[in-house]
Amino acid sequence: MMTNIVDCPQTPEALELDMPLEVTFKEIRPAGGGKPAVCLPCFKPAEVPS
Amino acid sequence: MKQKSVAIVGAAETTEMGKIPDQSELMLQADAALNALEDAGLKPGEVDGLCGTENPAVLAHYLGIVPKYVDGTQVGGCSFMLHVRHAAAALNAGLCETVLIVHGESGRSRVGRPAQLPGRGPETPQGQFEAPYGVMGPPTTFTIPWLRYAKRYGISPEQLAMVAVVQREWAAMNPRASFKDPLTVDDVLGAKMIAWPFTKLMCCLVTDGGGALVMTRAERARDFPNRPVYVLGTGESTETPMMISQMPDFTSSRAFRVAGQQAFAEAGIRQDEVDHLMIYDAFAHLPIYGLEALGFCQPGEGAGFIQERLTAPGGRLPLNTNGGGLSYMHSGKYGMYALQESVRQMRGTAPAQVPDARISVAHGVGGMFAASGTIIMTNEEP
Repeated sequence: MMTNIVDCPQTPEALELDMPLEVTFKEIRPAGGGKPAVCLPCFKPAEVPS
Repeated sequence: MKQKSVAIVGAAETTEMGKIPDQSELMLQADAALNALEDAGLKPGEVDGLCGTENPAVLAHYLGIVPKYVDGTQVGGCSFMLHVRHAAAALNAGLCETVLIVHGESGRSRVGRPAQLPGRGPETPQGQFEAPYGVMGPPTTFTIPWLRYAKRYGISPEQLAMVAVVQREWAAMNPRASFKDPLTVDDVLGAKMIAWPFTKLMCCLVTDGGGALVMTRAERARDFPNRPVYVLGTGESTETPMMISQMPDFTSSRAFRVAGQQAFAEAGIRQDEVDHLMIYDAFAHLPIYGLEALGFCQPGEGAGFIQERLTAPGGRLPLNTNGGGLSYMHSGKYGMYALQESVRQMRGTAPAQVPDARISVAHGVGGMFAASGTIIMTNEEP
């Protein structure tokens, strides 16, 4: 699927293929405000237990 | 399709190419069509089959053509490969006698051009499932699969840059090429970053222009003024609904493989019999994907194949000899220009002519790995 990886620097160095991720949901509000129109599944770097 | 049962007897591009702000798309289509018809020694009234990616009824009315066969197939830049294949079938079935295939696009000046390109609006799969994440058009979608390819096979940005460097060498021999000055790998890597790791010089041009072909059955081909080019094999396929995320394998195009295998099987030739090759290069990775999908090298070897100068001037497989979409021109649907260069090579009239070339392959992509078409031509008589 197409998505965005968020909550990390948007650089080739920080965005590695096959890095562990976890889903996070991003609310998209209409232009001008109001209730969220849609909720997009995005991904952020997963916290890997040491 | 029976080998060499149909021929291309007329071929030409628009009178001008590059920046043409004083002509609409319809005018570009008409200019290309009239140039190709003149090349074939024909008048518009002698055409009874018409193909184009825009509504062919508009161009038919504009030129006074009364078609008995109409094909408006629009699957992106390789549509003209599909038109050639469909025209071959129509000619062999006796649906028509003389087919005109036309492309004209105001890709740069945007004169007389639809406001919204098909397949990207909010009602489309791409508009619903990919656009919300911010991708916009080819630069930010077509380039994504390369990241997986480069990781799997360990290909460096320097190797990717070599595609643009080698194609500029071919462009330097072509007076009509948009850019002819030599490039180095450092030039390519130092250009403005567009979408990692693709710099501006790894992305195709955005120009105005067009081209057209005239086809008929092979038994009529010798009646025309210029050397006929016979169609030896054809193939076509589709892969995704214009969504790059739906490629089954980011390192290889299924549509490329299906179309290519059909064309080679139909032509009855091996890869080592090909003298000249055109692979639609909207971005620098496409020739690498094409070389592998068409069977000229193994998966993962395409970049090395180009780096070893096997496709460069003097190499054993001359590739994109007009300079390609990276240096020659790219109005938006480049497939027509790949076909034009294959015809020139088979006629012996290309600016960078491959000596004694007798078989040429023109391979195209539609959308972002959404579709594909392959045409194999020869100058040998049936």
